[in-house]
Amino acid sequence: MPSSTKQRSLRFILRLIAFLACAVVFPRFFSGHSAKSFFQDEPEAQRSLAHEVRAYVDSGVATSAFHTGSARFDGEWAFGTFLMAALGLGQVVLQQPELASTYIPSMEKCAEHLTSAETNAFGTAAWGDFGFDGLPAGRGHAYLGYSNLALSMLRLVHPTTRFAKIHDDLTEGLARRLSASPHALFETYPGEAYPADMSLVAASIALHDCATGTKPRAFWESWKKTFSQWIDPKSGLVFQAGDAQSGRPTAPPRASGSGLVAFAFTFIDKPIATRLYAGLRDARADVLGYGGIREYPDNVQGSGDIDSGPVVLGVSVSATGFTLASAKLQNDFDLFTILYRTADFWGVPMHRTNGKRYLSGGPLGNAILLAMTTATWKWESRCREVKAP
Amino acid sequence: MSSQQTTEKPQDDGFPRRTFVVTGSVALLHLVVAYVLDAAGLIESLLSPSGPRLLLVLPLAVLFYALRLTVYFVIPGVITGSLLVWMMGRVASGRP
Repeated sequence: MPSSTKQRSLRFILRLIAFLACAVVFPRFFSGHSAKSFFQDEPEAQRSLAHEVRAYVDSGVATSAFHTGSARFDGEWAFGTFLMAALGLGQVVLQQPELASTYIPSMEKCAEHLTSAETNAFGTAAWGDFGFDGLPAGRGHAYLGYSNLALSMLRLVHPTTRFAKIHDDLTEGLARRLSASPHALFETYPGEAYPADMSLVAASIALHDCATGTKPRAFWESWKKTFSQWIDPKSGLVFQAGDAQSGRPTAPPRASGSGLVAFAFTFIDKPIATRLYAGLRDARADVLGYGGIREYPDNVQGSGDIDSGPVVLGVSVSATGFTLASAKLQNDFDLFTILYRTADFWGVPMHRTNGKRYLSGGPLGNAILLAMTTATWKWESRCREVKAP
Repeated sequence: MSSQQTTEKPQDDGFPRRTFVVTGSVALLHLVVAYVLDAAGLIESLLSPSGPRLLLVLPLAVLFYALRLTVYFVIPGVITGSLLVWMMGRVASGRP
């Protein structure tokens, strides 16, 4: 081979090796260097994102900010933003108590929106009545578990909140409905019941009881045992929807709902939370150090929906985001890092004057990331002693 | 001094200057487009029913992610490969 051809070939091979080696090494470093900060609860990392989420809340994220094409989904997205913001800000306060006076007012703004007629219009439209009327009596409205979880987090960090009464009434109302459910489910909308929503209801009751020193409720053991029927034994994922009357699944097991359930159960029952996390971990997919959680089990086909968000090559945006919390709480730095890299690459953190936000997250995405990356066991140390009868 | 000497170009040391200029420009463009999208409100625009705003933001978002993939997955390899080839050339020619 002439020496010039040999040299050209050598240069080409050198460039190719360099290209492949760098593609394996550099991107994971660029995207993953902040993962450790969140995993180890570094104050500045939490504060920078919390600041931006607080700014969203204080500016008034209203239902009119979302235009998904469905009034129900628009309402749910605004609803979800306030819940996740309250949860995230509360978790930051648990870890940085000196920020209580800064973030509690914003948490109360979230609570105000979550209990308002405007934000709950989507639920009122479905049921024909406002979910907060007549408490603790009432039926259905399982989406109120999300509001109640936010109220429970607020109550935990601010026991004298002005929302204490409505929190107690809502918790009592949800607890009555939960204990009366033959298959551990009651309806979110007429004819629609979702295990994920139920897990948030249960988590909100558990956290309320922790915050107020209420003695353990009699229905917990039987409810947990019955709820376990909604976990698919093959995949370890939770069925996305079910019939509250018959106890039969009406949708396949999916990771987006499972991600929420696994997180919710960290407030309810650690062994079940760990079991659910194992199912999510088994659904992991990764390449070149970036990973995600597959929405559907191997034997199920699907293209996702509003709950999963975009499903790209089988990987679900929602499941990936929600699993960050469980990975953190289960002390799985490896999975947390590969999921965080994905969130960082596609989310695009933008450093602003006083904080950081994710470009493609919007109000809801940033609030979810705050709640998931600040997930902590520190709420346990704030539980009040159970009051003597 | 003869005219031949005054018109001679300095010897090219093969340093990949053009590579650095091009990759640097791509990286800068990536940063600029990110801040433009942030100012325009990427998600708010995607969720907004306003047609004209979406027509501007959507192509910009596609361009941005193409740039991001390039900056993360292509540029480091291109720069490293170019530097390695340059160093190989210097070693081969006996220059330090």
